[in-house]
Amino acid sequence: MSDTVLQISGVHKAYGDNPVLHGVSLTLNKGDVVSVIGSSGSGKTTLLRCVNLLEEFHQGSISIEGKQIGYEEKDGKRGKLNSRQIAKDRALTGMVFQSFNLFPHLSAIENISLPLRKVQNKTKAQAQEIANSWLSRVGLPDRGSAFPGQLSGGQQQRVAIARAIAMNPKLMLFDEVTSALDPELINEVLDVIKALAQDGMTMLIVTHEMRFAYEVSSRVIFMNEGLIAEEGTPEEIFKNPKTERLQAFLKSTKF
Amino acid sequence: MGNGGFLSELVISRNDLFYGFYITVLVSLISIVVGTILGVLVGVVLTYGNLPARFLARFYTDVIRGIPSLVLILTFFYVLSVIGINLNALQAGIYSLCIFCSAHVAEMLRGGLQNVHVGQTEAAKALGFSFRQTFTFILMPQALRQVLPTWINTAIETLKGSSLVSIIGVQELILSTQQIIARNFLTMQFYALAGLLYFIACFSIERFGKYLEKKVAIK
Amino acid sequence: MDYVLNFDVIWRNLDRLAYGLEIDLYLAIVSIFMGSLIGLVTAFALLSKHRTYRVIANIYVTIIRNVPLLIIVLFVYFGLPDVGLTFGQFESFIFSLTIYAGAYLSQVFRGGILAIPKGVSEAGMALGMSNLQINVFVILPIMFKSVLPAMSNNYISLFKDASIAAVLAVPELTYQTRKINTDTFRVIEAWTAGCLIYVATCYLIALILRQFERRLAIPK
Repeated sequence: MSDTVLQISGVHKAYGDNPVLHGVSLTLNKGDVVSVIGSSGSGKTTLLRCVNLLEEFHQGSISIEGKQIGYEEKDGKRGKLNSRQIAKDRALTGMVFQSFNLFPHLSAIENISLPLRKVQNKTKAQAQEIANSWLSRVGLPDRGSAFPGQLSGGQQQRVAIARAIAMNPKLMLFDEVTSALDPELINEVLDVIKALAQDGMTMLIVTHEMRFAYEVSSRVIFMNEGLIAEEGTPEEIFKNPKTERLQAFLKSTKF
Repeated sequence: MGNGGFLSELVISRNDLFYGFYITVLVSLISIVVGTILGVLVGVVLTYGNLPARFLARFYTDVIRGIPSLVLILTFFYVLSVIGINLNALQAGIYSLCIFCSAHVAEMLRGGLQNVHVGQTEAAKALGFSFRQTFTFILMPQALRQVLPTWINTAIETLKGSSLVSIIGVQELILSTQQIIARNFLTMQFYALAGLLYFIACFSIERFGKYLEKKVAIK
Repeated sequence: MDYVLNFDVIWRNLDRLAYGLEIDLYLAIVSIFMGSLIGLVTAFALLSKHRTYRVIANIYVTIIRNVPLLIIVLFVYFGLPDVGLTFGQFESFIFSLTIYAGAYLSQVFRGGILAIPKGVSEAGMALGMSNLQINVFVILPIMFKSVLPAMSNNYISLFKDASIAAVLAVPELTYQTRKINTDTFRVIEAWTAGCLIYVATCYLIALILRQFERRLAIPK
């Protein structure tokens, strides 16, 4: 059985006349932790959002564990899947957002248990148990009844991570999850992500935190103008950048 | 004339006043409840419907909100009887107030739903929620909390609007007051009293609204 | 149903309807103008340091906003003569609508004033401006531009409220429509025309006010 979790093949995307992705291909196997770096506008966030179908893409295909998501080939024509199927496809991945996007009217534990109950049809008791265990794993065992408005940014993001990963996705997507945090709160979130990586979670991480990317990734890709410009191990990318663009980029981030 | 006269007249007329006040509250409550339910339905269509549905909903809300309540009530009263729908004044009054309330609720709900941060919908989608689930568990709870003050306002306006059904002959507070005044000529006092009763009713709604806001506030 | 639509009646009576609309606009504009002045003063009173002003303003606003306009109109026209204050229908209604408008507009202005960052008036104070100068030259212009949307909404509402003048037999649009209805028995045509004119007028007013907003908006 193939070890491939994520297969992106030749994905093109444009906003109207504005091309954003020019044919991106990428493969992730089980346990891979791939960081995506690049300047804003390089298309890295757009690529991430294509993987969980928050963005449409007009050419190419994305498959998760062998199943093509979002679109299908019918009589040679490419068609969008219906919303039910898309919701199912989305449940294969978990996403953590830059602005946390916790549900403010629900407590931390409810944020985690509601999707478990409504999307995965778990019972209240099961959902509660799973939610509590993940809350502990992100370091917030006794903050379950707190509401997002009562939590710090770092705590909110950790709850957001717990919420996404409690759904047992095949792949976790992180979209610049520390960019909106105060500096002193960033590490608590990065530590959680590192721990999840060590436990073997397959991850695709868009980040500006270069040191973190260097420490946690099994592979790093550098995107520029809608294409993967360079790909390699953290050593290769950060210590031995080959292309001029990557060298310039690393210089500007002072890593 | 004088306070002695007023107080004794008040005692004599108390039943008529109570009845009038009762009708006012009844008409208002029914209109607010039914109007809100209808308004939520129209509001959902207004926000999420396909183009023709949205157009119809938009047409409905814009037309209703462009017509003064008095004109709406009179139109309902006169036109419906002519086209074969026979309503008595009370029914016509309630129906027109329901429609009035619904148009305002629809518009405020549209605003409330669109004001919910798009990240909420994205997070729900990312977790695999269907649209129905997202709407029920994530969007509505937030939108409803947001429009609560405006809804209380509309409820109060509907209550005040119920005063206008006196003009088509519904035996509510104002008409009762006018009949009492026709008997005892204590015009200023009894209009002031009617005003006081309306004030109490509206103020109660306002207080209730504040209490609700506190109770459902997101911490 | 033997009712055959015949809009000829409406065309023949268009002048009466136009006259009615004119009256409505007149009532609305006068009341809105004076109501805005009252509303402005009330707004400052609501935010004043002096408790007396605040209390009086609060009583005024709370009472008027929680009582139907119809009661105010009936009280002023039929009730006040009891203490010797007699008005004609026109003046009486304008008086009522003005008081009503003042209470509502005071809330809009109050919100607008509160929304101005404290730093702005502090800057004025630091420059040595008097309180009155700060209010007139700094607070008012800023507030005016920011409350235009809310004010527009209120203005349209107040225009619609002018229809209540029909109760006092003031020959405005609603009164005219009702008269055409009872005179000609063309029920559907009459009320369709009346409603249409109201909707169209409100729409036009909204359009015009939005143009104002655009012109006067603080450039971002």
